[in-house]
Amino acid sequence: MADDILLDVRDLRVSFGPVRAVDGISLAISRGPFGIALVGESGSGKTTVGRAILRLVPASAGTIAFDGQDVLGLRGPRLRAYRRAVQIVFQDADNSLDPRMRVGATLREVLIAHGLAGRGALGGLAGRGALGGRVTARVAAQVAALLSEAALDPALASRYPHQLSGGQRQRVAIARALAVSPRLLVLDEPTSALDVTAQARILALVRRLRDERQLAYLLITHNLAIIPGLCEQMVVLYLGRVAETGPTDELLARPAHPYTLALRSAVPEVDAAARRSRIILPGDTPQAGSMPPGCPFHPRCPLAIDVCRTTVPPLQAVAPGRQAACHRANEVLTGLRPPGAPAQLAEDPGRPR
Amino acid sequence: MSPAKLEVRDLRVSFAGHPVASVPELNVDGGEIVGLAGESGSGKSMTILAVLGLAGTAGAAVTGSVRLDGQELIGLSAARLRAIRGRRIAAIFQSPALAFNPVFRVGAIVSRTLRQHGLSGAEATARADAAMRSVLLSPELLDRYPAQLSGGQLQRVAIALALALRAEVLLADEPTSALDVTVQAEVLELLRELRDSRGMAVLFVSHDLAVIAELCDRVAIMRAGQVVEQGPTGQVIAAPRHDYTRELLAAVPRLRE
Repeated sequence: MADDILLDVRDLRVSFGPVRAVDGISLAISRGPFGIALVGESGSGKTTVGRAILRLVPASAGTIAFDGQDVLGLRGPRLRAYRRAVQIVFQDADNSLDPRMRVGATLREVLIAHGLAGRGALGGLAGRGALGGRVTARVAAQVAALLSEAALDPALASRYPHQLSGGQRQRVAIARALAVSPRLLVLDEPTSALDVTAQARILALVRRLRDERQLAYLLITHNLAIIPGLCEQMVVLYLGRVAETGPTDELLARPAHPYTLALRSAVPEVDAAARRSRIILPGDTPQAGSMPPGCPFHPRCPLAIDVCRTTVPPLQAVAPGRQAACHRANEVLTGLRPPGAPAQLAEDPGRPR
Repeated sequence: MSPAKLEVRDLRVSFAGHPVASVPELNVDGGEIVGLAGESGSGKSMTILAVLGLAGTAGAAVTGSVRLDGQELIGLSAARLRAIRGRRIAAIFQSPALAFNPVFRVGAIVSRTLRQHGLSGAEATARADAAMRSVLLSPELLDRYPAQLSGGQLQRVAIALALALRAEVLLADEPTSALDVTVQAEVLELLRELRDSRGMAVLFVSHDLAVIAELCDRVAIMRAGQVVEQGPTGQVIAAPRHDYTRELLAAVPRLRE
């Protein structure tokens, strides 16, 4: 196994009763600074993968290795140490922060729970036998430093979550994750509850922390547009399986899977010139409980042919460093596009009145 | 020139004398989608509530003028307003899950609304079925509970309800912000169709200028309760005159950097 792999997930499966939410997913996360995106619609299994990595839901099969060490068998203090090394930031900071705790108390609690309270900013322990008051002052300084790092005014430590904006709350959640100096951050739709202005600030913060902290992160999102500049690799999920994976730049420029094409075309664009013909996927986001025969995507795929209805396409190499699970991947890669799909938007730049 | 379908003039919304939204002039004509853009707290939603005559229920004071086909709505009695709100001016919101009472079947909610606006039970059923088909949903979904539908499906049911009532104006407050981008694309397509085939007047609120650029004919940019810029969407996007508009544009994530 390559030395630069921090987290190695192989053939991960997670079932909820008869529903196979995650159905054999492999991905590798390099040591930081490194970003990898996990992309898909609601119900694709992307959140479940993130939770399985944190051991918040049990995996039913597969392996997860962190720094070469098996994660799924960890217990007791070693599990606690792992959970310190891998932190998660949830979509909804409203619900992931305790409404009755001031921001400072929320951050202090994490430091105390992990035995980090009172350690100086440089990592040294507070003077042994130090007075309680001195430790308290040290902890306050730690809290202030964390808030500043997350681009928040340290004075916000005395506020309650409801006194903050959505963007500020999400930055508190990030500060809380940073408190334990994690090596891997799972960011589960960290900006989808925010408006674009607050989103831009959060994404800039992640980019800065990536360099300053040498962070590795898994960014879970349904919006392809936030990935460039943040993640060098991406994994596209559909119904609990990998549809396509590879370097972000190449995947966005030349998708090999029709589902990636559809996700890309769904991104709203400001520039009229950038708007491509839209692929509207027929039908609703499917559910993992009712898996169709053949390719899981074929009922909504505008390029489906007979073989797609009967045979599950294996995930295979389509270019160096790239894999796709599609019978027509090579055709899509070389420019095959769905028929019809009128370029409505390009021709309709604000109807003249 | 005949008056626009919906005309807003000198609209001011305030809480205890503290102004939160001020719109000097905003017109939405039939067959037109007008965008109201700005970040959280800029006054977009309060403007929508004021047009609906609901800002008062939130404790706000409203002055100015809102006219539908020339008829003044501000100061109208609750009973007169009720006949207009929902029937002629429909609204859809960010969270369709919150807009539907979870203990009733979707169809029961839809038909009760239709009957309240004067339709007989049989008419209500027929109209609801037809409206569901026109938003590309099976009428069978009316037998389900809200929790059994996806967010995109529920949002389309909310639009179907506006269609069944033959609403002339649709107020859409961040209707796609809680949806996946793929589902968002579908709902935007549906709104475009309502504009073009039914001649609906749509006032569309969003924080995302990319969505506005794709959908709206004209746009008003709001910041801290004030309209800072207004004009044809293409022009505002291509040559923004206000710094804040430039800021909003810069915040939009792009596939190509």
